[in-house]
Amino acid sequence: MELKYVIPNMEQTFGNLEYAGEGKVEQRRINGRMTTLSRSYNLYSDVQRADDIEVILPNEAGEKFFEHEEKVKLVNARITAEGYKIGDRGFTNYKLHADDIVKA
Amino acid sequence: MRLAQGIIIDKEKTFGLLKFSALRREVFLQNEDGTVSSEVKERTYDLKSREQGRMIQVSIPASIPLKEFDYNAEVEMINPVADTVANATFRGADVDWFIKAEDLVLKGQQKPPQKPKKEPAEDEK
Repeated sequence: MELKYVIPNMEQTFGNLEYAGEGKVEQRRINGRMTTLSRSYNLYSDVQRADDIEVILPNEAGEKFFEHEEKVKLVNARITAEGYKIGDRGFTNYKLHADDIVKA
Repeated sequence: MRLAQGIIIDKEKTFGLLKFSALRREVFLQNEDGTVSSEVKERTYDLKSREQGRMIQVSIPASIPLKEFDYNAEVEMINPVADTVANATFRGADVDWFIKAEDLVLKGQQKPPQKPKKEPAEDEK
């Protein structure tokens, strides 16, 4: 079935989050002008240790500046999923969206 | 990212009010030769979810007896776990969510304590 998103229990799913660094900025040309749509940041989680956590913030949140490995928390986090395939097999890529990142 | 440790969902915020709709299907165990046995492995129910704005499906193990709630009875999932399955398509892949839970109870009721089965007293006639 489809779900719009799921809202994780942040404590149990991610534990403590630390800021790792900035990721990608998604921009699109709107009326001939480059407009930022979203920015992504990388975080470390002491529960999900396999990958770093990539969180996507809307443009309205503005740019974020934190120290490396500074403890942070997310505002209104939600998870969506999209698929990709390698050969004939499908895999899930989770996307974490949030309204903002603040100091924990 | 993969979230290898799984996602523990906040059921209130993710699904909101849940209303019971119907039993959707029973999944049967397979025999060793691959044929379907008559033993039920799990049952999947349809629930109406207010936050998602649609019907969701939740699977409950067969060790929990069949649930026969009234249509639109407000229910609650016990320890739901959401996961996904991805299927490769001719270009890219589709993702489907699925939910498994330990039990489904009427809202406001705690999980009923496991009652020891009472044998009828032998001297009763």
